[in-house]
Amino acid sequence: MRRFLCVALLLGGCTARAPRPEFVLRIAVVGPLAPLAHDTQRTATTFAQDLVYEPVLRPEGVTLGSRLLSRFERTPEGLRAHVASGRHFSDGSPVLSADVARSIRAAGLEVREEGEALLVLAPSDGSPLDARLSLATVFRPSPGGDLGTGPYRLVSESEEELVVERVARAPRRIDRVEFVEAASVREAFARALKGEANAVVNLEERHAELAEGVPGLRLVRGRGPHAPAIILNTRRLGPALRRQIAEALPVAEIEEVAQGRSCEPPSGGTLTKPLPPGGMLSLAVTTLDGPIERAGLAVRRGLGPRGGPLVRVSAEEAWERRDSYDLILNNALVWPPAISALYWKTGAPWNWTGYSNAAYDEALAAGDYARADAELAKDPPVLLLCRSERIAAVDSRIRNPTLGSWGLLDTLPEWEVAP
Amino acid sequence: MNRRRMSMRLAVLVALAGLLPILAVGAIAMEVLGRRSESAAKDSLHEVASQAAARIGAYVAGQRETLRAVAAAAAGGPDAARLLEEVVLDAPSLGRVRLIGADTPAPLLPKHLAPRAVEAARGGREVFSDVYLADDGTPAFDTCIPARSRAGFAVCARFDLLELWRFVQRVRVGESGYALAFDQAGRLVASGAGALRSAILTGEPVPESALAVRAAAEPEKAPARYPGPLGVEVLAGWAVVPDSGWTVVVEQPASEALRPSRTAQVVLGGVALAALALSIAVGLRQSQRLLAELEVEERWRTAGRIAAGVTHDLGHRVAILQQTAGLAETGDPTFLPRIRDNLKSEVATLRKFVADFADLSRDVRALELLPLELEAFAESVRRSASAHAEKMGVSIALAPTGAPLWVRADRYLLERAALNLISNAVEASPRGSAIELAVSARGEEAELAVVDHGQGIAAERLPRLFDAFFSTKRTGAHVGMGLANVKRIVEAHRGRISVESEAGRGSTFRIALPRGEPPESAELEVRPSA
Repeated sequence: MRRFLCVALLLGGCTARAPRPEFVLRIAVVGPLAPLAHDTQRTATTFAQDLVYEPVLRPEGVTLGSRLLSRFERTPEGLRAHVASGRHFSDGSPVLSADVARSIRAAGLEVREEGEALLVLAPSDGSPLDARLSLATVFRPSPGGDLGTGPYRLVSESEEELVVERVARAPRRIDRVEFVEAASVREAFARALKGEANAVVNLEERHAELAEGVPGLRLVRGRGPHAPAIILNTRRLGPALRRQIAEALPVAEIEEVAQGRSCEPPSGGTLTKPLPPGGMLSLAVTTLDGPIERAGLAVRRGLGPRGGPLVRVSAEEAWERRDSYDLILNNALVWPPAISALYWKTGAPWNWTGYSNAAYDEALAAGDYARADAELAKDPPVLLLCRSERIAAVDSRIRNPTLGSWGLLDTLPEWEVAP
Repeated sequence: MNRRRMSMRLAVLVALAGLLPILAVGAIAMEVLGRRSESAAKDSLHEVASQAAARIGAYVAGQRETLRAVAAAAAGGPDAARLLEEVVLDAPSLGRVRLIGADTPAPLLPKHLAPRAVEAARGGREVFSDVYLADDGTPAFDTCIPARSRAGFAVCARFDLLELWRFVQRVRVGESGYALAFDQAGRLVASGAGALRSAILTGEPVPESALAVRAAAEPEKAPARYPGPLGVEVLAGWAVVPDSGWTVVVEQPASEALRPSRTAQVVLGGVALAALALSIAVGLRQSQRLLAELEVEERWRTAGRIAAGVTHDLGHRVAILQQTAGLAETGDPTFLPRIRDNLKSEVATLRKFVADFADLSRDVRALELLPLELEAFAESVRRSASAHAEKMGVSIALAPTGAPLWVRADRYLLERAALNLISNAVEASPRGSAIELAVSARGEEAELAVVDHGQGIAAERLPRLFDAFFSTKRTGAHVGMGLANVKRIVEAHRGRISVESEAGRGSTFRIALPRGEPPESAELEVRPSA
């Protein structure tokens, strides 16, 4: 009996391994947090949205892919899709065609169920279907809120803190992510420096300098999907003048002034043609961030004597009064390439200036984005600076942090934690 | 003490005598080296801080100069506002550059300058605000420069001190030395120590904040060594930024700053210890060789002395016995008493001779020491010696002490030693004189003194008096082993023997023994024999 007890104790000692401590990433974010839902578009809750929900189509390199569709193809009516089997919501229930169809409809698109396939019809407003499906997330309503198919699920939420945890724990991965509210970028960053949080995102370049050498933190940089855009108002500027402006503005110099040395590779030349004499051109600069402000001033200087009054307005005001300015400086989504269709396709929902270019539309319809870009350059509605750099400071125990090109935290599920 | 121990002791003595001063000098040298190193490290840190402060001062002055140039060039033109606004494109550290006149709306005035200060700037005086943190966390200050080309106007701007961050963060001393910059209120505005940077954004004081305020007032009194903010002792050098009241401190962990001198000290100490060990080893070997040689030589010398003493004494005895035999051969009965006395005397002498040799061969290293009351012991010895003394016409007296005085002793051997001294005293004393025994306590020792009033001992003989086979008497059976034995016995009791003597006035021999405790009940008490 005693021998049996000894063996039992020995076996017990061998098998009772200490549980792996849970790795919690505590991210300091700016402002109160909105309730998490599949269609949340405000506040830092959108970061959590990237972890809990997945889009129907996801930008992958220069094309589109999907974790939820086994295959999809373009048709004259729109896009035919087959829902992949073996996908689950965070409660373990399988993802059905009905769920995907419901999610697509919630994004304002029309869907027909044809046997096992779904036919998503092209939007009647002319907006690009690819881009719309990139913004549509799959969900299933439940009493506890919208269920998602992402690797994390919601644990708790308030205006001050939102917590998500991994649906299926994986070795050396982040188990739990806590988003904590801070009043300002400064406070969020201070929290990270003090160790109250172990990550802070969307840092400015100047903050990045302050984070260098801080014990326990490491900087991560990546290109985001946005770029400062110099919108040439087609309602006020003819094609010839827009081309002249495009040739006159020293884009590389403007990039350097606005974005520092972060723009690689250079996206524009330095040889410019002076703008012919004419009336003063008015400028509106959205009060978003420093790079846009500096780009506005650089553009006005680049316009030379024709650089007119520069006004600073909110993004909403700039949209509402978009017919009042010759040039508008604002951030625009530029990646993946298909996304530009949301702005410049005839009748697209974010088409600031009513721009219409049949050759561009045709290239888009064919899915030839390189040709679309070329057509856009021939009759430019916009001059794009280089894609903005995203900077975050994260716990230095994370070995391979990268920032998503689309959703900032898209790659977080793959971040590996040092043992 | 055996030869090995003696040689080791000799080696250590030689090593200590030679190297102790060297070690002492080495220790002093190491201390001096340590202090000088610390002083040099502090001077170096102060120098780095001074250079950093000078550079920060030059940077700020340069920025102001830039603004002066801008104010002079742009303020007078018709498109001054636009040109000033675009200054930020060429001078990124300047912001909100505006032409301020009497009718400029309040929202456009610098936020951190009082209206009176702006008024003063429009009147011709340069003004600037304290350092503050802008909304994005960047340290900055507002300043207004008179627009010389446009009377009553000033050009105002916000100076972004981002470059200050960069510069301070780039200051590195050694592996982990860093710089901190404080404004005049002791607020941390730039930090090379990453762990302190949150204080830049929050404005929370750091441990050096109070020191910074003091350093700004009295730079020469700023502390140069204190517990650092990261929990380690640091050395520090302070400097004040010219024309600003800001301070810069460069800190380096003391352990790192003094590492070279510590290494030198360790090496020096190691070399000294190695030299000491080598010296002892060599000394040990050499002293062993010397002692072996000495021992051989001493053996031969001892054998010679013994042979000389034995030859002399036995020769004397043989001569007497030959004379006695001659008397016996005459057959004259009148010689019988003389023959009897001679034989008795010579037998007694030869017996003492044999006893002395027996004492010499006795091992005194393994004594059984028991409590012994010294005065009672002295009285016992007095009684034992009195018969012989009286025969020689000498009396022995013991001065009472009144208090018992205990030692631990081998009674038999100590009695042999005391009787030897008394016997010598009797022989040295003239008839009718007295020998005094005295027992006394002297500190931690108990002393037994034997005092005679004989002819005394010549001063030149005193140093070798207790050597074996060295006798002051060459009149009879004295081969010179008695006092050597006494000394051996006393030293075996961890005591000392000494002698004082004055020619013509007598001698005093003193046996000093460590005082002991009275016997406990379980222990055998050695009582004097009645």
